[in-house]
Amino acid sequence: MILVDTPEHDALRVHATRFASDRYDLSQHRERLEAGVPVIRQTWLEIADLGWLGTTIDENNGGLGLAYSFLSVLAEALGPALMNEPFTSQVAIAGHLLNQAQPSEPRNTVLDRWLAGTGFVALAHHEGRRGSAGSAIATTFETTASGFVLSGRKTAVIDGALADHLIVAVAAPNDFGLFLVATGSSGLRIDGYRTFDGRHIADVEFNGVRIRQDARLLFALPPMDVVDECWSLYALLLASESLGIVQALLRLTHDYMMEREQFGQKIADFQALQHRLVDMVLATTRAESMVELARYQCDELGPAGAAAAIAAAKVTAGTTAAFVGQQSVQLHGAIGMTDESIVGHYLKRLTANEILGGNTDEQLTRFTRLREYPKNSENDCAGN
Amino acid sequence: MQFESALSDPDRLFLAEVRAFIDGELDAALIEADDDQRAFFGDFARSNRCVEKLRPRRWHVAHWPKAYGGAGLNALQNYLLLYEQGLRGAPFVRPLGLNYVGPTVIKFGSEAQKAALLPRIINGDDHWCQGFSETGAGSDLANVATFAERRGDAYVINGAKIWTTDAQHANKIFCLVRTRRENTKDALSFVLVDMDSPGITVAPIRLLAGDHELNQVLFDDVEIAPEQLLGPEGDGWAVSKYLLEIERGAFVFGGRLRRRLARVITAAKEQQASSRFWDNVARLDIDLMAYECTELRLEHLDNGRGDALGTANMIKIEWSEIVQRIDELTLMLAGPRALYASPTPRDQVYGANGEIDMPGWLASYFNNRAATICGGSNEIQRNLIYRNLRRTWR
Repeated sequence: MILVDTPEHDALRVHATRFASDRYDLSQHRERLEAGVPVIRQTWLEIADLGWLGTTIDENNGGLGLAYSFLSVLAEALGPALMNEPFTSQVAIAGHLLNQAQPSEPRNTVLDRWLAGTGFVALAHHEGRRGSAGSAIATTFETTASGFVLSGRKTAVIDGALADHLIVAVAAPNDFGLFLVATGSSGLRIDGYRTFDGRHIADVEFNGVRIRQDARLLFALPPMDVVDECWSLYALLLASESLGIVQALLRLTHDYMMEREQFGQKIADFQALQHRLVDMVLATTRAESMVELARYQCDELGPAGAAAAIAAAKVTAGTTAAFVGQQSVQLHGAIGMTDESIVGHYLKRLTANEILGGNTDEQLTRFTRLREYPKNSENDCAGN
Repeated sequence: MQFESALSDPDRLFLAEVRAFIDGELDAALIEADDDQRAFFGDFARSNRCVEKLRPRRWHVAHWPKAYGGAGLNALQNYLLLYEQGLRGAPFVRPLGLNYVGPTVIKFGSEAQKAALLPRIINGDDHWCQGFSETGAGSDLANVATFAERRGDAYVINGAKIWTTDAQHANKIFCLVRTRRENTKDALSFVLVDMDSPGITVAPIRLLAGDHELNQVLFDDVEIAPEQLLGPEGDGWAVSKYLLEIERGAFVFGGRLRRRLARVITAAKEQQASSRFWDNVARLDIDLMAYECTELRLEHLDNGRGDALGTANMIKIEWSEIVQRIDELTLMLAGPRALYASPTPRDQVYGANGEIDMPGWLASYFNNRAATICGGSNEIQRNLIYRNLRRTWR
């Protein structure tokens, strides 16, 4: 079937929507942020109990072995809840890496605890000041008699401050590896940050961190290919989450326009504003189409095969999110600017989603490369 | 095409059949060349030759009910058929008889009208044009003034229609006319008129790129019989509304747009376009992917999530804006060359007979400004979407 949600997808969507609305509302969200609560462990355990963490984990690894589209539907349905629990990053990155890694004692232990909701895992990959995908990997490993020694610095490690274990991307001459490292290890320093939308990133320093031989994760594919798959999956889930949010914003904005009166009439009676709302609907429809295309192509072809469609989906979702997010604030007037209104919180989450996992600029570069469009910057006109 | 990997085996076989048909039976002379892309309604003769090839399989009426001669294809097969034709450059099949009048006659026609008109549409004996717009009735179509006065056994029509595509080729015209002077709901009627009726004059209109696609059609005491009304007198608005809305399922623009973008990409590679240009291409490529998906899932698969908000209206806005962006890229790529694309003689704007002679790729940029105006302007489309939204989200 093309592009059609199955009854199972619909049932999951309904269940997740209710799960979110039962547990999340804006005032609690703000209270938790103000109190500095990182995550609600209880909720994370409930998510684990429902099996959602194991959605795409192979059955023989303890998961449900379902298609990627189910993760996308979950992310979309949970989007409007403004969760601070790191569902999208954990399933797309930690879950995928652990699932793809070959069995070993350390990997099996960490995966079991992760599936049970009792441990977070973070990928330490990007480096440099901007912490973006383009930066080269300078964090190195040295081989010793008993294992390895890691040295270097990672930036913008998603969920780094929450993690019990890191999976670190490290380079050596003619070698590259992914290593499982406990965050309590000696020589490892984590500086955690809250993002402006309440999520968790960290800078991590490795000062001669010693790890055992079996800490090296092995994969059937080249490790960087698996990492690339994670970033594709994460991009898909961020796009899906943003889609859920813009759909909620559309509705909220429409309802506000029907309530708010000025000049003796509802602001929804002004044609210019009606057309603005319609343009937001058109943008949202584009994002729906691209997320659907990407999620089903990911099912058909895997994250690597669907890479171009996923990049395109993140570009579309990012462009739509910016427009719908900004215009939702605009159409709410000054009220949309307050901390009290959920509109601003949605704009912040959408904005963070644009940045995380590679922003539109990076996704366009990726898409252009995958489509094999030439890079002829020498033909760029000398502009003024 | 991007959905190919998800097709079921029967649908994949059908797609192969369509491709074999296009490769085998549409000869090179039929396939769109450069100049043909100057407007969607291309050369009249070529369009009809394409229909001749589709006719044995009834693929030109693929979306009509089987009982009326349709091919009985399911929605996805219909989509694949139309997508591939567009992608491979098969001429655009004129919709006026096949997509507009035919289905409207099926819905509103008497048995006698169906028997008289439908076979002639299927066989290509009749070619239709559309008498809707007037100088005082464009977006506000209900404001038509062309009047059909009941006189004894006949109606006598006086007035003038404008922007009538193909009036210079067609042998029949369908019109929205006024049958009552008051501005009431039952004041309008839908009529079917022979173009060779005494009193009809066709006056060509030349557009800014020099093409003669549109016309004025003048009615000077043109007589029709009551049997030439479609639907009862006074029902004109309902019949017209149906006709304008039934475009769903009849068009697929995705393939045609994809072909045009592919030509821009080929040219851009040959000319070593700048990286900034490629960024524009990438964004347009992505928006076209979204459009192809929207067109398929909302208009042809109808996943049930679609029409509440006005699918046909959304799709019209999207394809018209995309085709204009493709033309903008073509123009950007051409650079100063576009200044030399002059008519004969080269030091004049108009030729000896007042003609303008722009090459197809340049004419396309100017002609496609109509895409956001015709078929219900995009501003009207937004009004309609808003109205649907209010009804759905009440």
